[in-house]
Amino acid sequence: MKTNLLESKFIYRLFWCMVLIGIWQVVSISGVFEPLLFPSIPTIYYALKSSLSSGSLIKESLYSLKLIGLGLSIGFIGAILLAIIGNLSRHFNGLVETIAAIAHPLPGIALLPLIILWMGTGANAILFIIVHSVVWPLYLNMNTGFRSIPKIYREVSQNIGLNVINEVLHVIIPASLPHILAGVKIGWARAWRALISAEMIFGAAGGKGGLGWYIFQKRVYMDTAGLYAGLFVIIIIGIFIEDTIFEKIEELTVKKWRTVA
Amino acid sequence: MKKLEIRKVSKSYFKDDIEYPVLLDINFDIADGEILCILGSSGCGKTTLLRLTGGFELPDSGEILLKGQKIIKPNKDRIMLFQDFQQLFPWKTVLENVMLPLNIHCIGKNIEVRKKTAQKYLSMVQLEGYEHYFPYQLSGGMKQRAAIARSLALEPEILLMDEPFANLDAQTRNTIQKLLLEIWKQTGITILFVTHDIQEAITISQRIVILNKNTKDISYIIENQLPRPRTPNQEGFGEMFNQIYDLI
Repeated sequence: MKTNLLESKFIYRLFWCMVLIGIWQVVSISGVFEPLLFPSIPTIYYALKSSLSSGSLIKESLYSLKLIGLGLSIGFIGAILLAIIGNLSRHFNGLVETIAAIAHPLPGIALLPLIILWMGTGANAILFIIVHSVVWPLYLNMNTGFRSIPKIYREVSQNIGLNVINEVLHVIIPASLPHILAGVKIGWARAWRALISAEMIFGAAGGKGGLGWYIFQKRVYMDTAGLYAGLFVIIIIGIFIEDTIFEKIEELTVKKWRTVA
Repeated sequence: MKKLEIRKVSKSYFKDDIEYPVLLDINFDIADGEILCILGSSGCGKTTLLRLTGGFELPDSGEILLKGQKIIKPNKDRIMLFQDFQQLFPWKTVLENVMLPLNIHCIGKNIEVRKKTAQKYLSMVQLEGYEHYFPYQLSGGMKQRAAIARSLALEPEILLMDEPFANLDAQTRNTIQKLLLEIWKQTGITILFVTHDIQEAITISQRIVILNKNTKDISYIIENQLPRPRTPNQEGFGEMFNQIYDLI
């Protein structure tokens, strides 16, 4: 029943995608827009195929994904450490909450000029922006998650004699997992946007520029079909991460335990 | 032999800087293997007394001793059973819930031994076959039974039960009371049981400590020697019920 529903949802989505592609093609053939600005579906398809087969698009995608994976991991570890230490010390928590309140509303991309001055334009600068985009929403969500753990879980942990490490592993993290996952989703979305923007501005360093640079470059050469191909890959990666990876993690954890609906 | 000694225990709560005494100068003992009920109307401090015994809170004055040792914090030698059905961890199966404390404290030399121990206590509470269920798949009574199994597996000195059956329907409560008495007979464990239900207190206890809501102390301790198994229509049950009813 459940898989049927998922399949039908997928097919339903696919149906509307086909409709949109059809409309695109009709508009393109009608010649309302300049073909250079609005390439036909086959042109985009061939651009996508050739850049995939030449390996350039895959290389840039992997470069971007590697950066974001690294950034997310660093941000995640940072946020969880801040939240756990904050959970133990009230004053430390006050400090980190204040810093988070200041840093959280600041878009990563707004920090770019400053980061260029401090760190130049290499991969480290992009990594910094990603970590910044991830760590604050994640920390804030974890903090809320830790605070909303029912008192009874803490008392049972005390009672059965869990030490701090075991309490974190067996109680605090699983109990606040719905909040943590929500934080990871927000962090991912922010980081992904920040990454693409930063790559476009920084350009290629050492021959690698990532997806952002890839589409920016296509614009420079007026290769609009290639540009759309790049956008297509960005969309596919976004859908894959949000609908497949996150969905799967939820199914294996919070949905399985019914700690979220 | 004395298992638990409650010595001149007093406790107050503060709200808006006004002191509200909850317990005043409480004194009594619990013998090894005894099953004792604390009975009183709501707000009489019976849960507070249990939480003090658990070490979740400290008395303002006086002390509570377990086998002569002063209680200062929660410990696995005194396991609390809450009224709340949420005391099982929802992210662990029934078996994992029972095994968690065994694994943490390395009780049993390997996983297999611990699993056997957990299964022994799960079958004692009649939950065999439900090892791999998650808590959300269990009824309220089953959750409480699983929590009892988790507590028993640690072989505590005393079980502290805070109205654990109050949210169950009458029939389930009846069955689970019988089950508790069965376990008590089998294991000889000491039980301190808090309830506001007179019938429950008479059914399970050997002694009943009645707390007085107005004076904040013990108004009476009743020796309950009615023959078991006890039913509300047996001889002496009604008299005891009325006696207690008048005291509360």
